[in-house]
Amino acid sequence: MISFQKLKEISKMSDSEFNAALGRAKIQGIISIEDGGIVRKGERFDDRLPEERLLETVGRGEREYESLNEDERKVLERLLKRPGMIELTETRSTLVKLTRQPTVSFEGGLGETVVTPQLIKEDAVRNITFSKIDIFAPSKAVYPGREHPINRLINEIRIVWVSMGFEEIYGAIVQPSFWVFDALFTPQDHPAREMQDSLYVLGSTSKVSDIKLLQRVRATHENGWKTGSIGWRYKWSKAESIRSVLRTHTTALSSRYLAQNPDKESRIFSIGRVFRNENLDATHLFEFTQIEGVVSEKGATARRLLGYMSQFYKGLGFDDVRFVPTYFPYTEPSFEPQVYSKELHQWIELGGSGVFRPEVVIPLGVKNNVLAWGFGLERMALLRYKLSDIRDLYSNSLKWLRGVREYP
Amino acid sequence: MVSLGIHVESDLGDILRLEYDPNRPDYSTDYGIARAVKGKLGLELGLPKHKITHSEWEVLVDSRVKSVRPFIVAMIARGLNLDEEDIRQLIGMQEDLHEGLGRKRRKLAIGLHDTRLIKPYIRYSAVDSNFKFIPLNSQRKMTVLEILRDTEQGKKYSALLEGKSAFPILVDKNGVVLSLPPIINGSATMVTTTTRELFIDVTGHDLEAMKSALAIISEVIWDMGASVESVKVVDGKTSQRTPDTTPRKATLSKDDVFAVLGIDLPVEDIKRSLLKTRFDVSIKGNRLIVTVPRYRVDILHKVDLVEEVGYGFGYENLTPDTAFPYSKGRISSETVLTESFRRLAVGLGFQEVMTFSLKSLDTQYINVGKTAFDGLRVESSKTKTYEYLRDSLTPGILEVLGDNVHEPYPQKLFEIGVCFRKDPESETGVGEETRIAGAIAADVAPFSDIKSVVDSLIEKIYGCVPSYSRITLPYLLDGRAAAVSLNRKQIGNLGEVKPSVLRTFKIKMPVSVFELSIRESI
Repeated sequence: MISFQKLKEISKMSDSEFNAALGRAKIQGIISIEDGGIVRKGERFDDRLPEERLLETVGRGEREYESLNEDERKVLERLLKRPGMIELTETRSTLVKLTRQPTVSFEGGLGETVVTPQLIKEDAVRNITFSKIDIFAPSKAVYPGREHPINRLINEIRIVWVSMGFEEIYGAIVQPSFWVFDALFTPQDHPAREMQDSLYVLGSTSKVSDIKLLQRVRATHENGWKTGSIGWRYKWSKAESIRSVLRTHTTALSSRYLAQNPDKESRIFSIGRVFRNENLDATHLFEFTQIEGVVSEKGATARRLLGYMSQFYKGLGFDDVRFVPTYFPYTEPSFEPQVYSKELHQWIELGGSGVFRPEVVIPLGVKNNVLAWGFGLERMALLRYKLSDIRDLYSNSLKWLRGVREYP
Repeated sequence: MVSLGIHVESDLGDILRLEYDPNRPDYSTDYGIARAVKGKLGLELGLPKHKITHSEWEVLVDSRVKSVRPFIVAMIARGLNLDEEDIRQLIGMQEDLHEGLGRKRRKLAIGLHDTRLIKPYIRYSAVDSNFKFIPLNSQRKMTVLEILRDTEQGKKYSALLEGKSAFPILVDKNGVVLSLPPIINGSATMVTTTTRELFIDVTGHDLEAMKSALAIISEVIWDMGASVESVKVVDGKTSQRTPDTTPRKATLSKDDVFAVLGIDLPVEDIKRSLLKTRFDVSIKGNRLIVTVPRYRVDILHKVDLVEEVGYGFGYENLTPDTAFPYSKGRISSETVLTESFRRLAVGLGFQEVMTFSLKSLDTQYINVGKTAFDGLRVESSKTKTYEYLRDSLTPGILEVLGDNVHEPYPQKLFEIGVCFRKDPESETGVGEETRIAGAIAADVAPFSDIKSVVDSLIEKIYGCVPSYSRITLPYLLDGRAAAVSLNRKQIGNLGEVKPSVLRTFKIKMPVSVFELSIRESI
């Protein structure tokens, strides 16, 4: 035992230094303080921290909590607060010992433990009792085979289209620019056609076999042809129209369908991957899913378009829909459908729509008015699955895929 | 505002933040918006009418510039009283026209200059890269080469003059440099709040778009209370006076309106709507003769006028028409087939994953021991990690397994998706094929387990048993890899994945995989 005063003199420390040193020494169990004096504990001075000492013993093999003394348990408490240092796990074990003869039974008495084919037969001739089992024991996790939540949503939407009398169309992902842009009256210098916005396939060019159609589209771009338009008034280039591009919208499939079925009244829909040259971030994907419906109908009007869309969005579960006039290059008039989200308590833009311009339909040989609308599925998927980062939809985290609720 | 085709971004009491669509560059100033609002409120109806007087100014086009940036149009604005806000408005408009109508200055670029600092006539010519002048925001003379290389504007737009040995230049009679279009103005003719008169030039490749831009500018100058004077542009033997704000005539009938909107409006109502949206209209029987101002570059067809009538009527008043004719809905045969495979895979206990069709070189090729020699790449992808169109689904599935090593096993995954390959015979040079691939990752994942899956899928879809033959694939263990054939046609493969490949994907469990073609190229 040594007095505070004496030790302080020997140490030649300042007041604050001395108090700090004393505190550390006490925590580390080098000293204890008794009746105003200081007592050194133990003979050997170990300059390692008690944390280090505990980790070292744990490191030699797992240690049971029960085997820790009171000081070590305090050290453990401190270590557990530091992330990544030590882990405390709980295991339950039962020691089972074989006895020569059964002496005690589980409550309810002895019986067979497992139902076997043999016992099923024997049960007919003698009365067999089965032992009670622990129905409260935790079960082993099983994971059912499931479709991806995006596909689940796609299939729901497909049902809505079919219920409205729409026929599904399908087509290639890589398309001639002609069908993605030119046939939709998108001028060749439009920003959407630049490499900054669209993804072109390196070293691939396309063939467009319908030369007459090509000429009609060229004339429409250059001077309006017979569409009643003044056109975009520039020199159209065939080379630009045959660059192979990853479709930026499934409207390319619709324009092809219309060109092949110019006289038919049709209600068609498509669901497919589309591509944009985007950086991947929380709100942008370079590859996403477009849902689109197209109606070619004699006498179809903007009012009819609004009618189709109201029904469609109601089918998707959005009771409140409104249509805000806007601009799109290949429709006139154009509307932006907005749906009211009860979860977010606000109107949300969900797609685009409009009546195809005469500059689009007339060169394709279509006499009917053509209505079109569509939206990006992922936006709806975020609402449905309550996610905020669009990348999560394609991260394929098994935790999410296995855990996501099946019934919405 | 919505009834003008303008979107309100936010309403801060006295200030509205507005967003307009790219087809309406005439909305790029407050003046342009006010012009539309006055019409909507009935304060001013029909075409704004103004007179252009001739100025003495001339622009002489030198034949040397014709191969670089061939055209120029110009105008004079007099009687301006510019404050900071006006200058901000003019610059905002200039930027909008550069970006949209001018396609990032490629088609056209606009210069604004203080006439006091210029001696007419103006020469539009070309110089070589050693030509020197003081550019805007600089204190010293720089050569054209230095400007393109070192200034912020030069770096941003030099690509527009790439490969040229001559560079467009606009100088006055005394050789004072107005600008090096489409890059930067000279510092000598800078516009300030003391500027009362402007010389405005538009240079470029697209004369139509340039004239439209000048018409949009003229309209704003008039709205600012100033006057517009024309400039004579002399180009070789021809000359023209600009700006040209001559309006165009178009005809419209009530049937046109009904055919698009589905509303039966009296001719008088149509006329009132168009007057409110600042067109002049005269009625001839059932037809309306509409005068379209030059600054309305969005009017290409009469459907664009019908849209204006819609705004006048109010799109909020347009009632949905749900009297659809009956038609029979149908799912495509492609979907029927892929959904059959999907249901079976789910029933066999496989979890579906969905990955991107664009993959990295590492994932798709290197990590599975393949070369990208025949790979299909996209041009200038912003995400360098996703620039190859997948030729197979298996690498993507292995990647997903590698991302989920902390999740409980067994992991049974499948994906259905489109794969791509070079195909010179196809329309686009690219062949496409829908495939299904699956993987079992578990403590033990023997060949026989994955073969059971393949047998089951094929039997349930095609009603027959496939045949197998030995193959070698860079990512499958030799002797534990097989090709699957149906009617002597190879449709896929299966096998146990090499431990080295598993380690590359950071997978610690044995994995066996299969991949089958569902449907041939379309």
